[in-house]
Amino acid sequence: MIRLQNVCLNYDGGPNILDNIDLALDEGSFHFLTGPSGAGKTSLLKLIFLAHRPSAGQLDLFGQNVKTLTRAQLAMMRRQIGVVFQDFRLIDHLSVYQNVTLPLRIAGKREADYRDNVTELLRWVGLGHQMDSKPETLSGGEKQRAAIARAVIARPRLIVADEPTGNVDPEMGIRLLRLLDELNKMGTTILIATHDNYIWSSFNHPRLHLENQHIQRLAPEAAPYV
Amino acid sequence: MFEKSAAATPLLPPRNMAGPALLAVTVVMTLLACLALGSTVLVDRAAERWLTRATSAVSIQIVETRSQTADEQLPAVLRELAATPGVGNFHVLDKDELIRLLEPWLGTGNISTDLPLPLLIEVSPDPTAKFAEEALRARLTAVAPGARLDTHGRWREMLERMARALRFFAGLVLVMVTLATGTVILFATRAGLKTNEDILDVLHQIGAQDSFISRRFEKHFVKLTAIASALGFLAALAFFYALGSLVPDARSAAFLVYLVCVPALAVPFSWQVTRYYVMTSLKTRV
Ligand SMILES: Nc1ncnc2c1ncn2[C@@H]1O[C@H](COP(=O)(O)OP(=O)(O)O)[C@@H](O)[C@H]1O
Ligand SMILES: [Mg+2]
Repeated sequence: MIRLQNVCLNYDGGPNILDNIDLALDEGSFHFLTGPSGAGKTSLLKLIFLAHRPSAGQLDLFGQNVKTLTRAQLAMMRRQIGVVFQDFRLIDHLSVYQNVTLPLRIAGKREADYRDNVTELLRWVGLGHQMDSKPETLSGGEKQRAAIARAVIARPRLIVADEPTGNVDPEMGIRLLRLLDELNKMGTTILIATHDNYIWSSFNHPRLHLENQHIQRLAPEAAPYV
Repeated sequence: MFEKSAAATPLLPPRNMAGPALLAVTVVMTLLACLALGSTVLVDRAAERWLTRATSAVSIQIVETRSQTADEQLPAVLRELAATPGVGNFHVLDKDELIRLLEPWLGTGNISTDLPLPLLIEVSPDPTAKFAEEALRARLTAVAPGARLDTHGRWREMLERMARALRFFAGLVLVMVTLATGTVILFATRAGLKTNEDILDVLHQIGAQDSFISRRFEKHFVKLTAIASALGFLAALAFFYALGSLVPDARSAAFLVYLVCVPALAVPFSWQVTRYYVMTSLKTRV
């Protein structure tokens, strides 16, 4: 599903942020990515969601070497990846509803076909009354939920989330993680960067720890949430 | 609940795009292009009409020389005319006709009857044969030194030169206006890409193809150019309509067809410039 072989990453020829990373994540797996701030978690995720290219090494996604893909093929591949950005990246002049449906609109879906699903999802994440609001009127936590809704709405094969619970209270954090857990049970591969012990220790999923440019695999540590 | 359909809101906010300034520049450019093109067309037509008339107007003027009066030279001239290929009819103007020709310059009744007038022969070329102008000129010099053949050749040449210069000048204006408009649209597109960078990042990450993103820009600039060039065209139309009282051609339908070319070409032009620039700069992304 995701395979990195001898992957290095530096920005503009600077020091390597990631050094010779070897990593393979199976289809349908759920991993947390932890590590101190500045370790390169976001950088690693960027490689995986195709926002950046490895400086060296090979990255395979969905069984294809990313380097061999054309721009059009890369765009099609990105449609199979739902991304929750650390800074949300909602579009200011669009309503919550319009932001969340963006992936469907870009994929050429008809509004009549998805309207009900979107409404349901937005209610579920507690944004039922703010569908027509602009992002600037939302709290940090609400923006985060909208960002998560946008990442999952098109039922991608892979969901990559960068600190998706950074701005919500623990209870909402668990609730959002459960949404991702449910999607994972239906086969979606999930990778979540977080520095929030409470979150990763509440779920029975393996952890990848990134520190000093290297990755360490750690077994699940906690009992699953009840 | 959804008064505004999701598809109705443009993905790139119009306020993030070049607006009034670009519109104004494009209006002026279209107007300039229309004026340049329109005036060449009008001058071309006037020149052409004048030339067809001038070509058929050949005349011979006979003046007194030291040894012969005009009347004494006339029979020889008429003989030569009759023998020259390409000459159709000719007709010697009588005194009344001559006076009528001169009146606009000298005033009615001011021409005394004993004023020495030259002889004037109007010649209509025979359209079926080539008029042997040089041969006739040579023969006339030989037999009647006071005769001068006037074919308006120099006039015609000058007029043709002027029309050519004007065509060239208008062509230059059109090229410059096109380049300037292209540059302005290019810069506006570039600014649009820059202001909307955050949105483009998101669209790109969500899996939008380059052509999808490019179409957002194309739509905006095509619409803007369409409005601006229509306004510029209307302004030019008003100008030429007013000019129509002096130059009737400026109100003709055929002339309008020429003018319409300007907005009709401006729109696809701005479309292609925008598309080219957006597609090229998107390719530099990951
Ligand atoms: N676009 C960038 N250009 C240059 N350096 C960057 C860029 N993004 C991140 N970095 C650097 O890479 C290192 C890892 O950053 P990041 O991947 O954001 O870590 P984390 O998400 O684990 O906090 C940091 O030292 C950061 O300064
Ligand atoms: Mg980070």
